[in-house]
Amino acid sequence: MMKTSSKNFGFLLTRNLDLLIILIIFLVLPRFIPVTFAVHILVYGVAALAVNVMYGYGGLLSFGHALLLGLGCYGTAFALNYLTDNIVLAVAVGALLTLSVGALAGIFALRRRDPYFSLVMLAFNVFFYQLWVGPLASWTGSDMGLFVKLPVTLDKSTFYHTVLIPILAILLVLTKIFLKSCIGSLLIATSENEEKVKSIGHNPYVIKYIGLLFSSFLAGLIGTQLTLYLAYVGIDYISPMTNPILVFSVLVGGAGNIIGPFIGSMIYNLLNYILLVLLGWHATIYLEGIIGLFLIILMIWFRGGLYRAIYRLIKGYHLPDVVR
Amino acid sequence: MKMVSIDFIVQQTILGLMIGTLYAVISIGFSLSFGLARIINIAHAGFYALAAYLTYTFMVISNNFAFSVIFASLIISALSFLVERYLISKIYGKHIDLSLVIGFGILFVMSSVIKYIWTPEPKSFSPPPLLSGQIFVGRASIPVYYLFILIASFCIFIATWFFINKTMIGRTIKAGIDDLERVILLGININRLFTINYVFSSFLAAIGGALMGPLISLHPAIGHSTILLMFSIVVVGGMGSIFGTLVAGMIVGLSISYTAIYNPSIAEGMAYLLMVIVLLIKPEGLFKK
Repeated sequence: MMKTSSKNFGFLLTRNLDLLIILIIFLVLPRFIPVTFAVHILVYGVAALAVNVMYGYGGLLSFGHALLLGLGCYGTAFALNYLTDNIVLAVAVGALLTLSVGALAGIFALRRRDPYFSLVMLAFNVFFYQLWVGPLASWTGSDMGLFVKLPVTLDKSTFYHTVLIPILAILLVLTKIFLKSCIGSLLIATSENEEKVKSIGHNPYVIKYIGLLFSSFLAGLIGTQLTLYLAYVGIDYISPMTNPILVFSVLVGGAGNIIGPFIGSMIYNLLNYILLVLLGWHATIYLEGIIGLFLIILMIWFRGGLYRAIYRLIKGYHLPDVVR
Repeated sequence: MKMVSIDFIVQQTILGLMIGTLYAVISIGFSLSFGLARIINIAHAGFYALAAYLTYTFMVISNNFAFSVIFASLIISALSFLVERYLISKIYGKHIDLSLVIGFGILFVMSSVIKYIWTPEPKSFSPPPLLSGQIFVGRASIPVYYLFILIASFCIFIATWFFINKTMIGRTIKAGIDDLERVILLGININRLFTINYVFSSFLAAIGGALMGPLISLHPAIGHSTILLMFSIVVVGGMGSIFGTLVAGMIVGLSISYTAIYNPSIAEGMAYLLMVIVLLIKPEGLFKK
């Protein structure tokens, strides 16, 4: 009896090694870099993971996930500033707001494949951004961002270790379960051959819709945590200009796996940090161009991303390509 | 609800038609690239922005509007030839997401270059003296430049129509949009066709950008905000349809300018709303056969 359970444990461990590696990296990260920096890597990583669920597994490239991340942030901020003192309730409001907008966007964006999905999601993002800086500016603080009154204040480092890391663990496990589940497998199948999925009696639209809902949930929930950590929401998080960063993170790390987005997010944040230190205010001029160059080079010559390259080095053979 | 005078409505109608047709001119290329080569050409918006800035520089140097517009458009066409040759040509026939990401990459590099050369501060220049007066219809004052844009856009449209329908290359492009495989079977050099199509598209984007220059204040993100307007117009009109693009451009332009009467800050959102409605009712576009 004992033997089987230890065997099962070993099996479970090797199957979920990627989750463990991510968690360990994020546990030790604050020893080397400032906590806020680690939090940004984590948040952008999870948001990129949300993009990856849709792109790497569902074959649908989203240019609108910054909206979902931003709505998570702002939903919690609104709830705490105007509605309630209860943090759990505020987080629920943020997550629900994101889910409902994700559900609304899905109705339109999933009507047609490929370029339509990406650009309709982007249109949603731009539309909300315009609402945020236009008619709703008095609520959202527009460019100045929104300061949040937190009912309890936790030490930054304590918050990171007692709240963010457990939430990251839960989200990673949920993602793994989702991807291994029936719906996850069908999502991958839909990206490969929609007609065949239809022919075995499933509705691809519903499958993609559920995928988008899950993806919205991931991005929204991590957004709510960012608000709690910073006690502030910047307009940057909901800005459409954040989308290419998320897509960049997915592509650098490699689409179609769980570690990839975190590698990408780490590289983006490091790049951002180094440029800021080296160039100061001028960094914004170059950062956009460098991200652009990376996107071009990645898409033409290194379509697999870093994860695949590392995998090939260790195992000696290629992973099957997800990106066509 | 505030009262709106009839003169104001006339003014907004002209404004809407003008903006709409000009955006339609820019969108034709976007639509052609999608129809023929099956790529989403986001770089199109970058060419548009770069052309507007180049026109600004040439206007500062020479103060000759016609020269500036034509010269800027030619430079952009040459640039687009290089971009097509070394970047875009690598992704023909591959998945459409690739073109989307590469397009954003090129757009980002371009806006970074714009920030580097022209600095992020807004720039503006006025139309030449000949076109800068106003004429009065009743009590509505309409800038001469608006009318000039309206006429120029129609001329460009007619020229494009002739190019696509009456020349050999244009007809081949049209045939390629309908059925690419048969065009390949006929032994036509498809790569050359794609190059011509791409450079022609970029030329139209550049002319659009150059003409748009005096109407707006130039900032490095003008390209980014154009992508979605182009996309809305192309979705409403139907991908690959030239006539549809013109009518859709007018519809989108009018809806933007009429919404702006009540609330200018959500006017652009109206275009997206229109797109979403069309996607729901007739996903292949209003004018697609």
